[in-house]
This record gives sequence, C-alpha cells and structure tokens, in this order.
Amino acid sequence: MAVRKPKIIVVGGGLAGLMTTIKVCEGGGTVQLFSVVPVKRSHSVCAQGGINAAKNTKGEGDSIEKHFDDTIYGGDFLANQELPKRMCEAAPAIIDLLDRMGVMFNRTDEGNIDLRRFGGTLYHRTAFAGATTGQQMLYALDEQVRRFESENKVQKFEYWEFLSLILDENRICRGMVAMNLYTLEIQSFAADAVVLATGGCGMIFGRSTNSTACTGSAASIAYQAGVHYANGEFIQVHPTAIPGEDKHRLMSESARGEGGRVWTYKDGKPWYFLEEWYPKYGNLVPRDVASRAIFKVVKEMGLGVEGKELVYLDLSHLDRKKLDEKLGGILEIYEKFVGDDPHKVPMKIFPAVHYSMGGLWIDTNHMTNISGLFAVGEVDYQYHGANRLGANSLVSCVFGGMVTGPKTLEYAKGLQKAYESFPSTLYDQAVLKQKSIHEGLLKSEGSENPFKIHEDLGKLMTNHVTVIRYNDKLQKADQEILKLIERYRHISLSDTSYGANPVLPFARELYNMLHLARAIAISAFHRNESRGAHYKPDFPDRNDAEFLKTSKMSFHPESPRLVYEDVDQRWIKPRPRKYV
Amino acid sequence: MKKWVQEHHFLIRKIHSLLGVVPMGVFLMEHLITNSFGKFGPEVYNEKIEWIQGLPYLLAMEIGIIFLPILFHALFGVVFLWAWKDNSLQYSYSRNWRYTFQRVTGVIALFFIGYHVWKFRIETALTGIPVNFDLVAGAFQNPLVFYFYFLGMVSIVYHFTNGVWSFLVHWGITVGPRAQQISTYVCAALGLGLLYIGLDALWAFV
Amino acid sequence: MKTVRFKIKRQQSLDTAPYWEEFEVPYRPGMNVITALYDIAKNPKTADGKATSAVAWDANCLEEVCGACTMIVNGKVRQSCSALVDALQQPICLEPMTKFPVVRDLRVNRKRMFDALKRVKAWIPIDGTYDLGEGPKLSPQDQHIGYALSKCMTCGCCLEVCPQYHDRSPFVGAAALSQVRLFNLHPTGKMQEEERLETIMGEGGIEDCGNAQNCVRVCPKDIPLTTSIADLNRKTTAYALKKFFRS
Repeated sequence: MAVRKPKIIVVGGGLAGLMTTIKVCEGGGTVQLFSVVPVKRSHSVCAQGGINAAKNTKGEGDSIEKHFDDTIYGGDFLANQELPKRMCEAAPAIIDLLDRMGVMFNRTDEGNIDLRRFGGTLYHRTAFAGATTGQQMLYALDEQVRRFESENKVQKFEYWEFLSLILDENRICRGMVAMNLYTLEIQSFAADAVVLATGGCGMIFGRSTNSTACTGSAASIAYQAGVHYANGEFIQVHPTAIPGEDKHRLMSESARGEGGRVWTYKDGKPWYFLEEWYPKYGNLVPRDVASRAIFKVVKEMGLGVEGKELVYLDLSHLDRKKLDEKLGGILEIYEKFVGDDPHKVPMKIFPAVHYSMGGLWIDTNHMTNISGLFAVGEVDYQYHGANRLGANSLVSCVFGGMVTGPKTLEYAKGLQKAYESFPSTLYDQAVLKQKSIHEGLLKSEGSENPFKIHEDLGKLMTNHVTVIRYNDKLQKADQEILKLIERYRHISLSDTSYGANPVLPFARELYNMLHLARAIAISAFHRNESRGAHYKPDFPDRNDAEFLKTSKMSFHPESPRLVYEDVDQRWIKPRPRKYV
Repeated sequence: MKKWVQEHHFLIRKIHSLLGVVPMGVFLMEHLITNSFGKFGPEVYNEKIEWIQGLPYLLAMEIGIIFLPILFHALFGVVFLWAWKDNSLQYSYSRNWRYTFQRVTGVIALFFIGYHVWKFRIETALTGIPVNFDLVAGAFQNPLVFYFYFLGMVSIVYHFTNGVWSFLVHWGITVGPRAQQISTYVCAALGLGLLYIGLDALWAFV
Repeated sequence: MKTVRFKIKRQQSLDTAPYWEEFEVPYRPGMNVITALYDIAKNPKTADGKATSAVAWDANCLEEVCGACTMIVNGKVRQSCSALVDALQQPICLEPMTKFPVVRDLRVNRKRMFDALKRVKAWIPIDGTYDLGEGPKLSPQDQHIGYALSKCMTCGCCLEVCPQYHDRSPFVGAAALSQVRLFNLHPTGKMQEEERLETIMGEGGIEDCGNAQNCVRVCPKDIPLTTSIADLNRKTTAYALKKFFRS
C-alpha cells in the first residue's frame, strides 16, 4: 500500500508561505497553496534593503552571538529567545541557500556576496540584491515552487481568499473555507494542517508601506476563532517613507546603510539630528528610535521641512554609480512617484506604519494554540519582540518557513484521525455558514460604504495608535472602532453581483480589520510602559517588572480578554537599551 | 502537414530567414546590376540577357536557386502572417513601423514577383516572345505597369535590406542595442544604394 | 473644487459587452490613478450622478514592483500606480489589457504568463534546501546582467505591445524568453542550458519573435528584452548547428 502523503494547506504565498511549501514538498507532503494575489505579486516584493546574516566577510568580527544579541536588544528584550537564536544561527546558511537558488545578490570583486550596514547594528551584516532584495528572494522561492507545481506536488489557488477555519469537535483544525475571488464561489478544503502565512496588517492603518493585500483579515479570522493575538500593540513605524495619497512608499533603511543622512533645517542651517543625538549609531539607530526622533523634531519642535510633516533623507553627496548599483530600485521609486532626482536633491520623507511585530501566538514549532493551525512570517509574533531590526524580516520569514514545513509534516504523521475520516457535514456546514454571511452582505441595504469606513478606521488608528500613544486616546480609539463596527452593520455594497465583485471581499476583510484593530488598540492601552515601538509619554520608561511579558488577546465580540505570558529569556538578560 | 510544420518550426524559420539573404538577396543584387545594363542602351542590355540565357544548366539554376527559394520564403512568409496583429498606430515606435512595413512590403513583393515572373519568364517561354530591352520598354508604356514596378522595386529593396537587419538579429549576430543601431545604419545605406540602382535602371527603360 | 475626469472601460465578465463610464473625482496634488479608483469605490457615482458599482481592478504593492496593476492608461500600457494624474491628459482613459481575458472591468487573467514560466523551466534545479554550503561565485559583471533580468515582475507590458502575442498565437513572449537568458547565465543554471534552449525552439518559442521591439520600449523595469532575445537567437542557432553536425 502506498504511504499516505500528508496534505498541507498553506494560505499566503509570500516568502514564509513559499518556504513552508518548499519544505513540505521536499519532506514528501503535498500542498494546496492559497493566495489572494498570484504568489509572485505578494507583499514580500516590497522588502528592499536586504537580509541579515552574520557572515563576517568584512573582517569586523561579526558573529552569530552578536546578531542574536542585536536582535534581542533591538527588540527591547520582548522576544522569546529560542526562535530568534536559532534564526540567527541558521541565517548564514539561508543566504547560501538563496544564493544557490539564483538570487542575484550584489557581489564583491572576488565574486562573493557583498554585505552592507543596516540599522541597529555596527557590523556589515546585510546581504542585498540592489534595493529590491525581497522581490529577488520571493522570485527565487516562487521559481522553486513552480518547479514543484510542474511535478504536481503543489496545487496553487491564486485569487482565492481564506474565509474560515474548520475545527472538529475537539477544536482541532481539519481544513478551511475559501472563496474564489473571480466567482465568489465558496468551497471547503480538508487537510492535515493549515498554515497561515498571510503577512501583516498595515491596511488597518489606512495608508502604510504595506500592499493592499496586507489587511490582516486572515489573522483576524484565526483570532476570532480562538487563536491568541500576541504583542499586537507593537507596530513598527518606519522612519523613512514618501507620504502618498494611496500609500506611503518605503525608502529603505539601506539608503542610510549606504551613507544617507537624515536632516532638517534649524536656524537656517542643516541639522543632522540623528547624528547629534546618537553619535555611536548615527543615522543607523533602530527604526523605533529614528521614528520617534523625527516625530520629536517635526511635531514637538516644529522643524519640519517647508513647515510640513517632512524631513530630508539625503543621498546627494554620494557617488552616482555606487548609488545606482546598490540602491537603484528605490531611487527609481522616488523619481517616479515624486518627480525629483534623489541623486541631486535630498528626498523628503516621513515615518509610516510598516510592520507588525505582533501577530498570531505560536509555540516554537510555529503551531498556534489551535492544534493543526500553524502561523509563519509577519503574521506570527515570535521573532522581533518590541521592535524589528531592519533586514531581519526576510530572514525570519525564510527561517520560519524552514521550521514550519517539517513541523506540519511531523504533526500530520502523528495525527490519530485523518481528515478523510470526518463526515462531509463538518465541511458542508462551514461552507453554509460562509454562504449566509455572503448573502447577508449582498442583501444589506444600509447607507454605509465599506471603503469609507476603512478610510475612517485608517485615520483613527494612524492618529492614535502609532508612534506616540496616550491612554485616553487609545481608549477613545477603541470606542470609535466600536462605532465603526456599528456602522458596519449598515453597509451596502455598490456591487451585489456574483463574479469578480471586488466590493464583497473588501467588506469581509473590513469586518476582520475592525476586530483586529480593537485587539491592537486595547493591548496598547493596557501596556503602561515604553518599550521598542510602543511609546507612551506618560510612561516613558521600560517596566520589566510588570511588562516584560507577551500580551495575549483572546477574542470576544464585546470585551476581548488580555492576559500576559512570561518571556523566555534563557540566553540574554535584559539591560537598558540606549543607542547613544 | 500542419504537424510537420509544428515539429520543424525552428528549422523552417531559420531556412526562411536564410533564404531571404542567400540566395534571394544575392540574386536580387545581381538582378539589379544586370538591369542597370539598360542604361548603356538596348544593344548592351540584350547582349547581357543573351549571355545569361545561354548559361548551361540555366533551368536547373533558376529552379534551384531562384524559384524554389522564393516559393519557400513566400509560402512560409504568408503562413507567418497569421501571427501578425498590428499595433503600430497605437505604439508608434520606428522599429514597430519597420516591422509592419516588412510584412506589407513582403505581400506587395509577392504579387510583384508573381506578375514579373509570369510576364517576363513564363509567358515569354510559352509564347516564344524574345525577352529583350524592347519587351521591357514596351511593357512600361503602360503607366500602371510602370508604377507597379516602381512600387515593387521599393518594396523588394525595403523587404530585403530590412530583412538583412532582422537576419542579423535572428541569427544572433547583432545582439546588443548598439550593434543593432549600427546595423540599422548599414542596412539603410545598403537599401538606399540598391534603391538608387534599381530605380535608375527602371528609368533606363522609359 | 478642482476635479479630475476619468473615462473607464467596464465589462461585467468576459462574455458580456464592454461599456464606458465617466467619473469625476476630487483632485489632490501627487495623486495617482489608484487614488482615483479608491475615490470611486468610496463614492460610486458616475460623472452625471448615476449610481454605479465600484470599479474592479488589480493592485497590490502600489510601488511598481509587484506588476499587478497593469492596465492601459490613455492608450498606453503601464502600471496604474505610477501613473500620476498630473502627468496625464484628461479625461484619463482606463482600459484593461487586451492580450489577456478580461475578468471584470480592469482586471485581466494573466495565467498564460505564469504558464510560460513553467514551459521554459524558469528555475534553478537545486538539490534541496539543506545546507550544502556556499553557492557558486559570480562576477559583479554577471550579477549586473542577471539582476537587470531578474527584476521582471510578470506584469505583461511587453506582451500587451507585442504584435506577435495574442490569442491566436502561441508565442511565449519576451518576458519568459528573457528568463531563459537569466537562468542560463547563472553558474548552476548553465548546466541545464540546452534543456532550457530546447523549450524555446518549438512552436511559440523564440522563432515567433517578429523583432518589432516594442517590448523593450515599454518595459517598466528597463529590462534589456531585445538583447535577451538576440542573445538567445545566437545560443539557439549555435546549439542547433552543434546538434546537427554531431548527429
């Protein structure tokens, strides 16, 4: 008898999802891969600057221990230390693997992979492919998955959106329900395990550096189904982005890694405030520190460029050829979207919501508190603590995938009851439930427009739940979100047809965004300290005694519950975090 | 047949492209030079024609070097037109126009050559009318025929010289943009030269 | 209030007739086409005040690296995210790409492009994701060429403008061909060079290129597509001759 091949569902085709897929295929399983966009268009393409690994090829004495220490220190000691440690250990081999897959990393004259500097470290530790490293890595993994696809080990469901989990009577995940975005058809899919690799939730903030697919909807569905949402209050605001009407476009930290300087005018003269305030790290302080500094200069001191909420990011003093080689991609973005040539004039930038350190709670096997449901990538919470270091996200996605893939197989092989043995009613009921939500929305005849509600949510979250947080405003934000949820009950869709209706999926995502926004706001409210990206002027210091803890939100429609969990600090003890 | 064509796609395309240059292009140049003897008057011209007509294995050479290659090139040229969906008005780049003209001139050249071969090779062979200066000059009395020849000459010269440019790309000889740009100039010069020779000879018969 | 006028070609599905609708949205400095499409979604009314549905379009990254939001803007194919309203003549005319089946409004199905990547074996066949040590060395010069080629985001601009690429032609198009060059250039990929060349020597392969060279003119990532094609012409010719004379 042929050995039963484990079947794994992977939702999301960014770096983490693809790496998981590759590992499952390699381990003898088959994968059904779901994505709201063709996987090659996933948000990972937006990662620009590079990927960290302590390869120490510049004779600086960099090491895995230093990478690990920088990561934990950069994350203000909030990260559980086991996975970050293993990630830092695996990182150099990950670079080699990507290199073998054909990622076009920049080279030294000898033909080795070049490294550059990034924020939050004093070493050259970041491998890069121009300024489109994420894109290049995603393509490499996409190609490997395409290879497995041509061998029928992977079945892709592109333009399919995740709608719900299917849990058996013991609350073990046995599959999921998804809808086809071209037809709105709803279908159930059974599997031994489901992996969510659905990325971040920047869209909750309206305009961010995230792609439009980064709604956090899938994470919220899992949260509403009972998965804890951990450390949700830690939202990274990237210091350098081009403010835009539709999104804020990231200007990579690598711009500063290659010598870019941040400044504004003070008393008529250029003032390099980061270099003045943080002489040791200068422009390469971690992102939370840089964003707060820019906020201080602009909002408190009123020194924004041209009186607006902008400061300069200046590359104009650097060699043109070097810039084009190492930063071509982002210079192109600036030129195309702003119209100025950053070789010649300083870029005008401002901080923007960028990354969610928090996410679905997972154990060190990447499994959530629902058996059979795994989470990996930005959607999990494990790696970055209270603040992520630049160029650590790519390595955490790939490493996470390398852990998750084999762990799903292990889990599948240990299952006592296979999904095949469940009656079809389990699956049919889940589909019926989703269908009724669909129909309810299509019939709804209120006066509210989901895109308007989303716009209001974004403004609310950006104003109250980003760089500087006050408890009264956080509380107000939560109350306002409740009002938005009330307004949501009265929405009507401008498109009520079946087929590739874009409004219905958005409305469904919006509902999930609203509940996830609450989780973020409430956990921010309860954390009365300042740590990493979470800063409260009323509680300006870190409070390890009370809050060196993972916050875990459990969903409840009216009053979500928050509990705290101890942080694994086996290797590095907390110390004050200063970059001066 | 369709299956055979699909299976030998690469070979057919390559032969099609090669035949356009050798022997067709070479023959074209030879033919234009021969025509130019018309400039020296009927006697010289007729003498050269007679010389050619007196060549040994003439028919075999005509069939092997001229008719069959033309037939092959034309047949597959027409088949390849199937994949042509023009957009040179919407994307009005010069290379796109040249691509379009290559196809238009190919079709014109096909009709022109058909007429030309019928008129001066097959019909004359069937009826025994001698091919000489007067026959050509007589045909050109009809302005329609003359203009058709003018159009045919321009089309063939364009089709050939632009074809040389394509050939160089198609065979991987000119690879980079600079090499292709230089080859554009060279091919254009060749085209203008051949056009001059061809039209000048045309006028000799008027 | 300053407004911007749009004319959008709409189509419910592949088997229904397209129609045009005009919209007027508020102007903001620096806005792009996507901003306007969101405005329409927030207030789905035509310019003459008639209620309509939100327009369907594809988008994701909005910074011209994912390739999703490709459409025809004022007659030219491009990404709509980088189509800034200030640089466009009004009414701004939006149409779906014509070389792929329409899904709805401005959304098209570009599956054929991804299938082409499968056909040409656009990957490095690594032995596995285990730790097998460092990858092959690569000169900075080769990295330059490779990087330029690997920026292809499968957006389809090159195919939209290709007169040889359409529903009755099997041509794989410039994007996939250029990927063959990319993988054949990589030290490991080179080992399967001939296998990959074979994939483009049949029907719909490299020989179907008509040299109109529009592809290179519209590629948003400035990929040297025509150089790739000419280079592959050289490689396939040499390979064919080698195969013939050794047969």
